[in-house]
Amino acid sequence: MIAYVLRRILLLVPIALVVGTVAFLLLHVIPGDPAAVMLGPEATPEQVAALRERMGLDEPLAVQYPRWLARLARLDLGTSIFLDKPVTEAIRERVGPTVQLALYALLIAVAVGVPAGVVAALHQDRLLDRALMLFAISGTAIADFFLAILLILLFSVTLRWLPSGGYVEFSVDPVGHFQSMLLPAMALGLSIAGLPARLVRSTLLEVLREDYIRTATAKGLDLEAVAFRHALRNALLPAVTVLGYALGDLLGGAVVVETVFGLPGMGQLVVNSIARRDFPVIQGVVMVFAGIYLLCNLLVDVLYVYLDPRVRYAGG
Amino acid sequence: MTSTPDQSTGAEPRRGGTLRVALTGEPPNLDLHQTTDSIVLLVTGHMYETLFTWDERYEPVPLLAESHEVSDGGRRILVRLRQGVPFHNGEEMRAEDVIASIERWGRVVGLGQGLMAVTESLTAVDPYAVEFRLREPFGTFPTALSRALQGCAIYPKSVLDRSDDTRLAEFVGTGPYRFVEWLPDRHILLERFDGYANPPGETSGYAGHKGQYLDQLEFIPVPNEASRVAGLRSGNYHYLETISTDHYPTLKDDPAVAVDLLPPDAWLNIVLNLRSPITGDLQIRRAIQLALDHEPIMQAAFGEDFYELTPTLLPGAAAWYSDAGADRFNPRQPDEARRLLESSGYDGSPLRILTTQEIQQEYNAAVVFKQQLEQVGFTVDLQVYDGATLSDLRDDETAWEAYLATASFRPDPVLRNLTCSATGWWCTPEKDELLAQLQTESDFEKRVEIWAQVQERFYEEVPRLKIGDARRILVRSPKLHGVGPTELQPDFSNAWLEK
Amino acid sequence: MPAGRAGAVARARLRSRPRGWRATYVRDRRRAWYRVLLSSRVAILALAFLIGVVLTSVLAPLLAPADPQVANPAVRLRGPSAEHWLGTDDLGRDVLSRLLYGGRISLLVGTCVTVVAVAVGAVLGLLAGYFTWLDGLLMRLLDGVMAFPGVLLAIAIVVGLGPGVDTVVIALALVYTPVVARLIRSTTLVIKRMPYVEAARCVGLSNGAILWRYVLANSVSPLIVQATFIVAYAILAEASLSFLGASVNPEVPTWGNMLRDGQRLLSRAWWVALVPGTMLFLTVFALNILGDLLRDALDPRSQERREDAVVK
Repeated sequence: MIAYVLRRILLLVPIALVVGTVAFLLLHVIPGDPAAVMLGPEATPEQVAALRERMGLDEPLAVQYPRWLARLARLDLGTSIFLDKPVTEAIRERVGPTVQLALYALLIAVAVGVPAGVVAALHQDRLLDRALMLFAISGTAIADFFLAILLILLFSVTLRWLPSGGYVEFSVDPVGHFQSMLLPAMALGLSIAGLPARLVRSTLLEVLREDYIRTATAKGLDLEAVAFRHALRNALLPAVTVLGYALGDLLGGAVVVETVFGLPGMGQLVVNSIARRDFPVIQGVVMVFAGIYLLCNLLVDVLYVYLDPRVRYAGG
Repeated sequence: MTSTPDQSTGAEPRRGGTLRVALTGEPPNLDLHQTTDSIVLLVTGHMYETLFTWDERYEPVPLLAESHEVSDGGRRILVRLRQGVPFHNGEEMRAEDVIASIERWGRVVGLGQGLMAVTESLTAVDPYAVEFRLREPFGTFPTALSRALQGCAIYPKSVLDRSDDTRLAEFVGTGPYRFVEWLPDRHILLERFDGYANPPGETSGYAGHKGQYLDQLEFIPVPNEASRVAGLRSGNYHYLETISTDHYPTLKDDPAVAVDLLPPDAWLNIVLNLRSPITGDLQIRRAIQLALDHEPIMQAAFGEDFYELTPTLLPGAAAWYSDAGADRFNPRQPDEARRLLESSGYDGSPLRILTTQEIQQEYNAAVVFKQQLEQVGFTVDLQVYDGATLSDLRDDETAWEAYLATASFRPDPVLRNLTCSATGWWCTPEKDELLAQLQTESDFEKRVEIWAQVQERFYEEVPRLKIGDARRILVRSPKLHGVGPTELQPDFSNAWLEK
Repeated sequence: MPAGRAGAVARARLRSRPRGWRATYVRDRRRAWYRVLLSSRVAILALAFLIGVVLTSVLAPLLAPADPQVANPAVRLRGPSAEHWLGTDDLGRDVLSRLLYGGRISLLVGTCVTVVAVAVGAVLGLLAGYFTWLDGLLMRLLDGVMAFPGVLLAIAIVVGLGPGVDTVVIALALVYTPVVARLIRSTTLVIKRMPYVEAARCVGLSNGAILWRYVLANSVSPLIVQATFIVAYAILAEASLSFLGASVNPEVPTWGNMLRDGQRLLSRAWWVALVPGTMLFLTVFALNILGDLLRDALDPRSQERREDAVVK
């Protein structure tokens, strides 16, 4: 078990290297000069050149790359050109809303998806099952920004129940915080709720056919009670793990949803930084996102090994 | 005349509250000297002040200056400063601060360079008086040093000593609101400056008394226009920086929103590259001028009721109105255009138009522009970029033939950059001479005449194509009152919020 | 599904048949997958819809009432009417025409991305699964690419290389190739241990022939299912890219950039956004349904499961 964990952690290193290299390569292909953007259209070429020199943008790529790798090893992600502060600081300021959004979305996905999957399994092939599965597929089929817009149109503009954007910190106003996060979390969460729903349904169905369940029903226990006690536990595991792997989609979806709702998270940071050609920030955020994804995968894999004895004894 | 919405309300202003303003994006910096981006003036107009500013008739009046005397045939200008005006950091504004600020502005800004070019010396004759000795008279002195995009904000010398020409060490000014914090992508926060030295006189335009009713001004970047509008309708924001006039029909019936339709004071123009082999040819530029039908372009950009077609290059400034060159404005002669194009030897190389979808009006106009050019025989390449790449490419004279821009309000023609160094590179000695005269001449009548000549040349030499004047809509919460003039960016110093 | 005695017999036969991958060789006792698929009304509906979308997109030049790119500002932002069945957008362009042409890009991007991702991914997966010495290297590389959130990776590539269908296809293919590679790798890992593969090797078949005739042939089913889903993901991803302004040239209509244009004016002219949004939704929805049903039809175990359900 420990060996497995250690092995997985070690494997992260070459992957991280690949991630870092790809990030570096990609961003030096982008045209556009951040210095010119920052100084505005009426800056003189001398001012632009001066800023470029300050930022070290003129060095050849072969020099910038090893420097980049060395800094990565120190977890130094460089300095943002536009924001004039270390990238890690810029990210730290913004990581809050994004992580919260992802977490709330996950919660909604589980809170909506798992019960839906259970109900669907219990009513297999009947109307409720088909309807719920239809909703599940609809969620994944709809573009999350389209869902976001429709939700705003309904709940903000027409009903005026919820704000259409902006971010209120929890420490400042807890109620306002949840009000401002509800719609974005719904837009993101509902669009992936289909995944756990379908997975719970199918694994529940599989488990329900197992012999030990048949024995229990034969003995006269109520099917629903049996399902909840024995089957659900087994069905939950793959559902949760699939959400862990879906984190990549969540983070990508957060980028778009944050734009629609004006949330000051990492997604918006990236989109703005792309427009501003703020290389260090783009590199940094992409690295952080990838890092989060890798870590989550590691956690999920370890959790899976821990929880599922079959895998553990097979050597992992 | 300034258009100051909602001055008629009789209610008593309430002190307190935080104003939430939704911006179209993030300002590149908070240094007024650096850039003509209007968003910078919107925010910093409350933080910094200039020596002069505009009253409700758009006449320059003293602000940080107390008075100024012109003598010696216009070659000596003595500016007396108001005394006891504190900066946000507690220091008092003195001559040395003014000199340091003007010198920096003179290095960075085109108009400032023009002033410094004729300045032999700039000295402090006493702690509250500054003296300019000029080689020749500079008639537009107070105008040049007035509130403007990229205006000459007065910063403390102690801050400038720690700054360089591209970056301020700190954001300190004398204005009614002081800088608190800037959390990029979250907000820029200003709070009331309690030590503010209120200028004498009644409120008039941007000049005179400032009520400072609001406790705080919060500027929030919301690049998504639909989110901005939705945010205003649901009460999240009190004021929107700018939105498309397409929202007018839905918003004017919404009780949660107060909409003001302003007279047209900005114009849509197409800047041509006079250093390109295609658009450098006057005959081709004339062909473009004849080919266009301005109405569909303006309709596409602004919608049916929100534009006007006038030839003046300074809409909104009635005193400067001129119809010089009007016979060449929107002539609509596509057959003639085709003929001119053919006989010019145009070889069919693509005419590149730069545009961005970040400014929807300009993009829409570009699409129609392209269509109309193609109808007379041009080959057109419409290149759509994001704002950053666009800014880059505009400086490259080999990269484009035309781009779309909106020229916003200027109360005086010297503040409109039509010099040789401006993008487009319209460099003719006679025109440059006229512009220099415009700066140095002080007699108003004479200047109107000079400007009319400039406008005449504008339509003859076609460095740009003025398409039409655009109306703006001003969208705010009905609980917000007292918003000042908006042509040079709204002034919230006298604004207040209902409970 | 057969019920009653005939059903009981059939079920008994099925339960006794061998499990696992060998089952794919025992074809005659299962119903052909296309029969299973076509027996479902939903599948027929989804298939018909998709064929309809493809046809109308391909025939767009014939069907579209107007040129999708010609701006006609005088009639901008008009609602659905006799002249413009789905209204006009803010440049006065006919929404129906743009919808038809927009489908071309969305479908083209979806198909091309899938073809590339499947082709490249299958090769990589086969190599990684079959040749152990390549596995480590390839997997690290693919894991590295997969660690990037797809949207961001695609944005960076498209912004870097400039807008255009080719760039979008490259970007999205890069995002989805690892998915295919992983799938093929895992099926390869299983298949290469099968006795018949060993037998083939003993007989002297070259690695290439083995890969082609045995490994790939047996991976086709899950590959088809996965491909269907990738088409759906790619179409949605392109819409996201268009929405963020990182896709094809905005003059060219795609459902994604129509959504982007329309979302600005949702309360003023709902049809501009709702029409492409709904179309996008329905297409992806149909693809998802098709994928699910294909999966059920092609996977022998789930067939068995379906038959068992009758017992309950």
